[in-house]
Amino acid sequence: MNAGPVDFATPHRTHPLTPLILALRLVPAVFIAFLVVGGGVLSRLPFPSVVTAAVGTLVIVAISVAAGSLSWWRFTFNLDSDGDLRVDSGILQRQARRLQLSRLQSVDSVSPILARIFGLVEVRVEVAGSGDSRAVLRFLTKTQAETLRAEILQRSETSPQSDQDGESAGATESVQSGSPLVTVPSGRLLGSLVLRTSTVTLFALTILFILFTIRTQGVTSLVVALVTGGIPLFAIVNEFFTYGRFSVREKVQGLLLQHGLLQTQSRTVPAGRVHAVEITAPLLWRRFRWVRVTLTVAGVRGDGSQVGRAVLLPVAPREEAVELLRKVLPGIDIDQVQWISAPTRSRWRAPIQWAHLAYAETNAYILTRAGRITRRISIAPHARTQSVRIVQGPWQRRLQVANVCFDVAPGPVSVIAMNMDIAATRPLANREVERMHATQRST
Amino acid sequence: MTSHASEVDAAFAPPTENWVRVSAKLATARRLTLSILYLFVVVFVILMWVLPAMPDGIVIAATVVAVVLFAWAWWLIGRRVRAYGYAERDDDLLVVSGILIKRLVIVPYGRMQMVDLTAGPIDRWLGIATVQLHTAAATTDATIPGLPPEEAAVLRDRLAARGEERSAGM
Repeated sequence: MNAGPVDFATPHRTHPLTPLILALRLVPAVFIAFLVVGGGVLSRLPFPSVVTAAVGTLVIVAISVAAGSLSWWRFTFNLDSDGDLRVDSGILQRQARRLQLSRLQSVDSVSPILARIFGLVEVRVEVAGSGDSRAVLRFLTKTQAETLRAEILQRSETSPQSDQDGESAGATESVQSGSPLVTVPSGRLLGSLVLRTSTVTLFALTILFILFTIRTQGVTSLVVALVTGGIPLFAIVNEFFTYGRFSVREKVQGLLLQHGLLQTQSRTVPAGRVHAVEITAPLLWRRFRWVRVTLTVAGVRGDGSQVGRAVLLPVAPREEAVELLRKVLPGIDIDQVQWISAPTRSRWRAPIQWAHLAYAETNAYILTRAGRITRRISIAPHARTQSVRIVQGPWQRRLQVANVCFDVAPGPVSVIAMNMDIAATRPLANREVERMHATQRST
Repeated sequence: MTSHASEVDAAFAPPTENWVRVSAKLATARRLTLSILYLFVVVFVILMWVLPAMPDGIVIAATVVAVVLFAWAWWLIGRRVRAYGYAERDDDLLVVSGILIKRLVIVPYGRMQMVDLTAGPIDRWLGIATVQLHTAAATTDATIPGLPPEEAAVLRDRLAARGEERSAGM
């Protein structure tokens, strides 16, 4: 599956439709601006203001297409002989940017809706390091993008500085190739979003408010109902569009996550960069055995020291999630670990969730469990834990319990063993620190 | 209750011999800050006495509450400062703090990313400084206030050196 007709050694332009697409993106904003801002002036002209605004918008679009064409003409990229990505741009002031592919962090392709209509995609290349570490190539045809992506991945693999542990044959496979490990059906995604605890609660409240309004014929509670009903509706639509068509593929660099209905996002979760994982199961998902898996990942964007959030699976049957989890946390089996629960007296501190509070230790991971209505399991590798804390409030002091916090990089996941028997906390903390040292000595 | 107390003490106990405690000047610094903030309360209470509209009962009650709160905060600062302690082990640093909420944090040197040394105007005037450890986790709360400046500088350099030797974990 090599480069074929497209060869990126010589300077390439992006697709000729690029200036038009970039200009078309302005249309809604410019049109509304004409209508709103220019309303007073436009109304004095002898035409309907919509017509005037349309003409004005057309002029602006034409100007920006002309300007965009100039910068499109001067924008070229190529893969040079040193194996780096070179991007030259600028109309008068020329800029030459070189991205060292040996330090590649990610190659993402995104297709915004307008570009997708024309069958084009945007390619984002990021390398480690501060400053000029990012190049956005817009727009390329799908074939071009796939070839470029494969080429970049291959060069990043074979360059002398990088680890050579992946087969380069695998690195050249294209973005879409290979059947996905996991996909999420739209029906299940929609169902899961509707059945979330917060959504159901807010919808129930909305119905109450509406019934109340009908009885009292007041207006206030109708306004409140609009808010309580609107927020979850917005959240459902938003997440449905974000996580629609979710698929996970296995690549040499790690797991490739692709999702999005209007705008496709793809993100590679590099193997061994996962700092923490959270598996959540809201109350109403449990009869379907659904869970969501969220990650804290390093190097999601830019500099390797930065950390971000990634949803590994928006919703999936537990078995599927457990299976996929092994890909990001090698050797984990959350059904085999030995959970150690919080003592019964902790019910006075956490009356609802006390029975579900627990922690477990394995050679490579620390696991904690919490929540009653929405159950959560958090997992962090000892190699990624940053520090260990024991924290005890006054009420916990009376109950002879304390929290043990395993500090991980900032992100959606926190790993805390809550309300554990005080006598067990210090030995637990000591064991964890000992394992943290062990991971360091081995590297 | 005594056996319970000793178990709690065990959870927050030093690894080997003793915690290194921080300077009592820290209490002075914090009480000074408290007093400056309390000036507003004093002004408020004086106004209550001066203005004739207030019923005597409320004025007296407010004054008593203000005085009691001040005394309590004053006393608590002393206890909290005495509760601070740290211990350097071969591979990690331990810090304890807190009276109402007790905290113990263990940071392996290899996980440290940065060591901060800070001293505000009051601190400098009294001759104390704060050393703070940063890891890749924002929740790591390893702050040692109230160190004599020379000791703080030496501690910072020593921690930074050990951190560099063992750096890993990102």
